[in-house]
Amino acid sequence: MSDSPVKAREIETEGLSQGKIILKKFLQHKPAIAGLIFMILFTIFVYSASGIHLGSDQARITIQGWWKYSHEDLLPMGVCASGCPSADHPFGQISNGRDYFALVMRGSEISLMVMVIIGSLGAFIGTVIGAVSGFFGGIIDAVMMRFTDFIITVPSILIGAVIGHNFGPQGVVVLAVFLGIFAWTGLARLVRGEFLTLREREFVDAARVAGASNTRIIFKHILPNSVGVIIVSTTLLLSSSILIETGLSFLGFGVKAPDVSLGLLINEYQSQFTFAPWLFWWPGLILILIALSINFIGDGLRDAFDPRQRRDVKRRAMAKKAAQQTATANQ
Amino acid sequence: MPSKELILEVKNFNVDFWVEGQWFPAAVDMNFELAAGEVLAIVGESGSGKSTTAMGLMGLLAENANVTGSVKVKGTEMLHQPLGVLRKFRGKEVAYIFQEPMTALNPVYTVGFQIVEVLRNHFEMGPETAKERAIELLTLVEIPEPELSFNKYPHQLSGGQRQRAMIAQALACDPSLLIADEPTTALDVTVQAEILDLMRNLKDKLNSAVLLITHDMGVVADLSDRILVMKDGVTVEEDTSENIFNKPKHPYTKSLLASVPKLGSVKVRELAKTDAKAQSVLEVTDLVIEYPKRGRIPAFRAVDGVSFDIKPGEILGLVGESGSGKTTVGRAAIGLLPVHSGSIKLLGDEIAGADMKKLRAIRQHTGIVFQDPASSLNPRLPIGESIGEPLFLAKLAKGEELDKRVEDLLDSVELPRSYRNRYPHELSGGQKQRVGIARALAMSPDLLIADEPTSALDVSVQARFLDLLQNLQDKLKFACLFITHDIGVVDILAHRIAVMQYGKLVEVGPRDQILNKPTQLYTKTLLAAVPVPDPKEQKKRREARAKLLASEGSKAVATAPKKASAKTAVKKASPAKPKAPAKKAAPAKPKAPAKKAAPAKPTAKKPTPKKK
Repeated sequence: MSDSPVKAREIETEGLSQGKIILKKFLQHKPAIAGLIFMILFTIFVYSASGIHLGSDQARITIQGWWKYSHEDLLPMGVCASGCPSADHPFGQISNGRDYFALVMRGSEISLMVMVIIGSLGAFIGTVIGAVSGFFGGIIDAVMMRFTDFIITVPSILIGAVIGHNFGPQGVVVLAVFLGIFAWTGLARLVRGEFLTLREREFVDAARVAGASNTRIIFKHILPNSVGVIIVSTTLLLSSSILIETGLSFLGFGVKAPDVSLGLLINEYQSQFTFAPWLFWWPGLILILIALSINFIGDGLRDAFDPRQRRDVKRRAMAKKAAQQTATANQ
Repeated sequence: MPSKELILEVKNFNVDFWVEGQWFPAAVDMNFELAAGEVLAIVGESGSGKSTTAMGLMGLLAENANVTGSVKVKGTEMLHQPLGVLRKFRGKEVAYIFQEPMTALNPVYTVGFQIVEVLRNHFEMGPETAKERAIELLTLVEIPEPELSFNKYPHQLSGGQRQRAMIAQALACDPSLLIADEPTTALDVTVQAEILDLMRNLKDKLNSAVLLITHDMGVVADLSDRILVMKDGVTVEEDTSENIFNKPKHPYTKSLLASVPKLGSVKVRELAKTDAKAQSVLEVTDLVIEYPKRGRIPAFRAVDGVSFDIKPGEILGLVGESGSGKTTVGRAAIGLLPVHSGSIKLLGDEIAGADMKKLRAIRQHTGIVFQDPASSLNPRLPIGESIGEPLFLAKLAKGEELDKRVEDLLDSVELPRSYRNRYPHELSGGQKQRVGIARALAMSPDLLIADEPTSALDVSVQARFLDLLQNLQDKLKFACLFITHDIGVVDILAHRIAVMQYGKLVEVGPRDQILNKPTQLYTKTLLAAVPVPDPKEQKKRREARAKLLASEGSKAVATAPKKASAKTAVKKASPAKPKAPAKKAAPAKPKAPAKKAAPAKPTAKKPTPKKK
């Protein structure tokens, strides 16, 4: 009894920082956590299965994975002559005998890498350029936005083609980096727009009076308020990066045989949908799962940053109120 | 008015809202009636259901509202009628004046078009006749140069003129019931007084019933015959205006009346004994601030040659209408706006032209409370962090020590400590403003700048807020620049008052002198325009104000453009329309040209007041 008020005080006065609250709310978001766990496990699974293959054709670093076949191995057809899934080849085989499980793992590996590189580079550059441009305005804004306009006029297929042609042998990582360097334009414009409106709000003045530097105002005060826009367009950027990579690979500038990517596999085998559907379904299913979990993680992040999203608490309050109402009605 | 026809009868009127699976009552068992030529005021704080009631009367509520009971306008049931029937009544028999004229008028159409639209919806009228009638209406509501204003877009009119245009639109079809939802809340005191005058004249002329919805007891005292006090959707008290003000029965009515600041009702607060020679906390000399020209818009001089000072522990009230440059002065005093010329010295340090580093050092001695509590707190930052930020950035406290300081600050503004992890949207307006004060006081500043901190708050909340500020000031002895448009607020707090108009300082002086013996005409007009929550007193003040304006007007007319009066004269002569014979008389009022000129430039020619 004697220590209970003290305890209560401790609980109520514990101050949480913005970061802690965001983390707590993110961890409470079940779909996001499910998505995150799936992505982590899936990435580990993929990389451990097919091993790591880095570098160019001349100097290749390769660590073998646990799967018995490599995606480059040409094998005799297994039990099933049409290449259908069997115990030895769980995902089946393609017509020249390569193991489809190895191919899908290799494709997932490349697609994930491309996605992460393009997505993070694009999101980072776009956010910084948009934030600086929108926050400072004036000449800085004008110059940066004209530069953005210039980048927008250069089609990404052209960039991909030039880079693929010149740096193709260095592998897909270089290509992804270059595509990322050019993929930030849309995001930059959206973030700039958000910053233009947010910087006029009084809390920015309040922060300035409190002694905050421009960097702190941009990153601590305004950026969390524009997280919604950033996350939505980054999710879109991630999915479009898969499309860009597939398109380039299709034209022969991106991933080159015997390497594969998920987009390439789907593109190649959609015509065989009727008689060898597994060739289409496996990469398709994996792509959908990746896209879904990225969306869930994005949702979770956005909700964690946005204090207005408190569905669970609200529902509980409503239920409580309803109980009270019925109680008073019964009286 | 001879006829006492019953216009509005409301019986057992209930409104419930369906929110996430539950019914929430917004108005409970309302009963009232309204006769022609009568003004019924519904008074209550925000959230008391007064606007909901008004909207519900004409079926303007959203679909999640359940309205029951009976509402009769001139004997016809209004509730649950098909839209076709309602449409005949809306605009014609029942007209609305909305709170915010900027949002209630469509920005892409001219004012004239919007009035003509109402007219042609309800009467068979040619475009020419409708236009004539619209100009007539604009003249009736005393908009300057009605012919020109007819073709103006809402953004080209001032706030008061927009509200007049709204009223003109509402009056277009001679409605028998006028519902005015906080018609003057968005306006300055002087403009408010004019609009109230206008509404009173129109009501008498047209003999229409008025349902006035407001939280301002002063406005109520000015206009209403009967008052209905609402709280949480329930009618608390209904009586004649006189009885409510003089013999309020319900405790809530009493507390509502008690929280209204009354001019001159408080004793001047003793200024803590200060050395007359003590260094001023804030010293402003010949301050000029210009907003630079943008494109074709020329540079705008918002503040022109303003000088004043604030001694330690003193509260200076800076009063003026919107656009007078008072906020600009406040923001410049804390280095948020560049100074064109002149100097601002804070504790002897020059702010004008100081670089970021120096400003940061100077700002450690100041705090600012912003006008809009919703906008001044970062929505994504828990309030504890907002409050602690100045301390954290000044590297005065960290970790546990910072926690403790934040707790102390929350205690000092009387907020529970458990609130520290809440986000701003989880607090009410008054609580948010307390957080604003806590943040401003975090550095124990020598100077607090309060920029209209109460304008977004309800009266009773405002009273509590002012109490708190006063207590804190007594305890901490900071100097304060209190910027406001509400003279009643300054009256409670300030030791000295400065009056601003058009970027110039009109008058500075001790509170009593400004309130009781103002020397400048503008200060007098400003004071006369403040409505007092007492019908008898307000009547006297109204007459005094009319007299003041008349004397001022006779002077102003001499300088006012002749055109205005010539035009009104023409209007006067034009043939009467069969629809509204009563309205014709309006422009004939000799007051009209004088009043038009009065708010425009009564003291523009006056020399700036001498400095002490």
